[in-house]
Amino acid sequence: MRDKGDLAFALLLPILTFALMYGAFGGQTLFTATASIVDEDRGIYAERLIEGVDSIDGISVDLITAEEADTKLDRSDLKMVLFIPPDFSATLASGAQAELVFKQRGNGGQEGQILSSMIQGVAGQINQEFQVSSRVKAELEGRGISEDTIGVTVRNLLAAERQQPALGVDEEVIGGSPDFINQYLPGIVTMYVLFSLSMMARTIVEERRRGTLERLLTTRLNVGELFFGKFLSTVARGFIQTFILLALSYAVFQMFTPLSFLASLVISIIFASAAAALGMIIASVSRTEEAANWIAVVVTMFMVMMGGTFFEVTEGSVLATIGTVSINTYANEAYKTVISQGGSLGETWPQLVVLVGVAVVGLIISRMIFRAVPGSK
Amino acid sequence: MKNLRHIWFIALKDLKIFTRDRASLFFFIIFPFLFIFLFNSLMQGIEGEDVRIRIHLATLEPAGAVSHQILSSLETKDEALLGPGDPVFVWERNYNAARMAVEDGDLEGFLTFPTDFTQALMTGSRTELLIYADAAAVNTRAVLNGVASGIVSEISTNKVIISAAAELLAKSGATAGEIEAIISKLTREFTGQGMSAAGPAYITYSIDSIGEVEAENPANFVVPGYLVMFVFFAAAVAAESIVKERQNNTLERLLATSATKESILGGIYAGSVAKGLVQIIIFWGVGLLYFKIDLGLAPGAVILLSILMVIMSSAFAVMLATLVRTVRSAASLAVITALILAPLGGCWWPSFIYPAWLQNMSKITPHAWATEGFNKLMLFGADFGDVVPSILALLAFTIIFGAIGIWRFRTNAV
Repeated sequence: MRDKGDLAFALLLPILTFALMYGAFGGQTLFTATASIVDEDRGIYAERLIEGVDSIDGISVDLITAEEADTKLDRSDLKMVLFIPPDFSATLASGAQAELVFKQRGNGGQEGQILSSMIQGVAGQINQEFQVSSRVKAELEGRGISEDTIGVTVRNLLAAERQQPALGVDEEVIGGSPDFINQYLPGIVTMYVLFSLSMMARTIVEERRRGTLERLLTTRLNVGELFFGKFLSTVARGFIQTFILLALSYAVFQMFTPLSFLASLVISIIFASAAAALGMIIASVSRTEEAANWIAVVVTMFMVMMGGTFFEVTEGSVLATIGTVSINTYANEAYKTVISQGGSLGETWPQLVVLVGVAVVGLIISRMIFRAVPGSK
Repeated sequence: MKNLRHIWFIALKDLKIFTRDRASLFFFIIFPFLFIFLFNSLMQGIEGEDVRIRIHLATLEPAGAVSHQILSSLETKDEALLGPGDPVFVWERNYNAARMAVEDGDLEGFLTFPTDFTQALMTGSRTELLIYADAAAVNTRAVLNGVASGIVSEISTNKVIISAAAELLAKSGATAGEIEAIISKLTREFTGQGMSAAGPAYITYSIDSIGEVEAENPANFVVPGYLVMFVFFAAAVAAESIVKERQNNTLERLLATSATKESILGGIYAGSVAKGLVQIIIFWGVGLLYFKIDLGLAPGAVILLSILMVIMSSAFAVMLATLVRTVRSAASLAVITALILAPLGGCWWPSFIYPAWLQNMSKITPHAWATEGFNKLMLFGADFGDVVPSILALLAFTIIFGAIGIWRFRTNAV
């Protein structure tokens, strides 16, 4: 607990990683995209259209040349580009119909289709002015009202209507952030617990290489006691780390009930035991600190990636089969059962049995090959 | 000349150690490819799908109301008749079932006409279209909001036509009866014909289809992402061996020969650069030959960015080694910085999917500039000029890290 580097690794890093993932994906409530537009018109209405699209939250505009657009469409670098033809503004100003051209591949991809509908929405506002003026003129024909008067009245009323439309839009959403937290938080906690426990192997190897373990054997301690002492301290460290991270999540996200929190702590101590057993195996097989480091990093990254930490693994897939060798898979499933599905600890018994099995088998194997003194039997 | 020879020898020594260290070779060259294989297979086919957007609509009004006319005119009766990019409109006739489907995760969201929609149209009172959606379904919500805006716009058009006609008639001295008559006529027309009564549109749209959507090769994103991460990781971890050599006085002993402090620093730096170059040659080699990655329109810029990433990472390694005292601190900091900067800089997921604030924040990492450059070149068909900011940023990071490294570099452990 006094090692600042280890503390940063054990507590700060998971918090930072989760904050990063939450910032990147959890709080995302806005569609974001870049609209590629070729403006061959450069007239007033093209300008208004581009400004309108650019002013939509989450949408940015990339003005490109026709040649660039064709090259990128040809290479599939872009799926949809809006072409504003050279005579767009002049045609509209003359009171005739003007055309916007969407050059696209297939349906334009999902992003292209959404962008297309947004562009049509902005163009619809320009169209609205012409449509209203034209219809009002037709209705009032022969009544001696000048075009200018009609134009001013229509513009004023349209502005007022846009400020306060008679028809509004209300959005009610469900799910979102809580789902994200329940989905990813257990994975990130288990990732860093496994990481720090497996990295503990380096310390044991260092103590063995420096003769610290050998010196301890000159006291009343025997190898077995030394081994289990190291194991228990590693479990305790993992449990404290998990406890702090889960308690923080409880306080910040209110994601637990008192009962589910207690159930999560039980899962935590069993997972910490399994992870510590793996750490002991790494410490037993590694001859140098560097070897312990690399094995720990490789094992952890493999377990994390296959354990469904960052992405859902489809049931029955090859990845799901490979994921069965990852202890994170079982810990993450157990946490999700308790936290997001409101399940009881009893419902997680298959996962807990596997984790206990890994802890027991790992302890037996590591005890068999553990050496307190380099080269001893 | 002598200095150069020393630099060469030290760099060659470091490179030999690297090539003979199986653990390092595995971790920095083979291990990244496990990730690349994994994510490449997971992301296979993404972006290749080009399904039409399906827009679900419902109404709370009884049959015969205006919303039923609108829904009837919008509903897609035959998908085969749709043009490229046209959405499929689905009329959800059971509002409660649609709501339940959203709650169960079977439907991402839908748009509903309220119970007083027709009444509001007739009287001009205010009402609201309702969107009920899953918060995480950002695209669906954008589409539903777009459709809702379109309906609002059409209704507003009709309303302004009536208001303008009435106002102008009043100004022209028309009688109350004449005004009432035109309001009634237009209202009847608009409510009777749904949303298409205002007349022909002045802006029309055409689709110029130039072929089908082609799936993006995920390796075009995955390979450069892991290249950036592991080139930086390998260099950062090299700081550990620099500290070790300083602690066991290897660097001091080198000074006892004719090697200068500058040539030792130069040798360590050149060795780190050489290792990085070996990494990028292998990454791009395997990427081109096995994963068939596309270097884009400016392959020279891709190579330049890779080399800059290597020299920047090596400068970081030297700087890190000068900032820490113990091997353990160097190892911990190397892992921590590598694991924080990689996801923040867009090595695990493309940073262009981040929200704007996070994209801005990520710019404090060299990784973000490098991955942004690679993404522009390899995913979006950018040319050399488009990645000049990334090139300059990596140079700036190199200068800053290098300057701190040179300033603080010492050969003794005390």
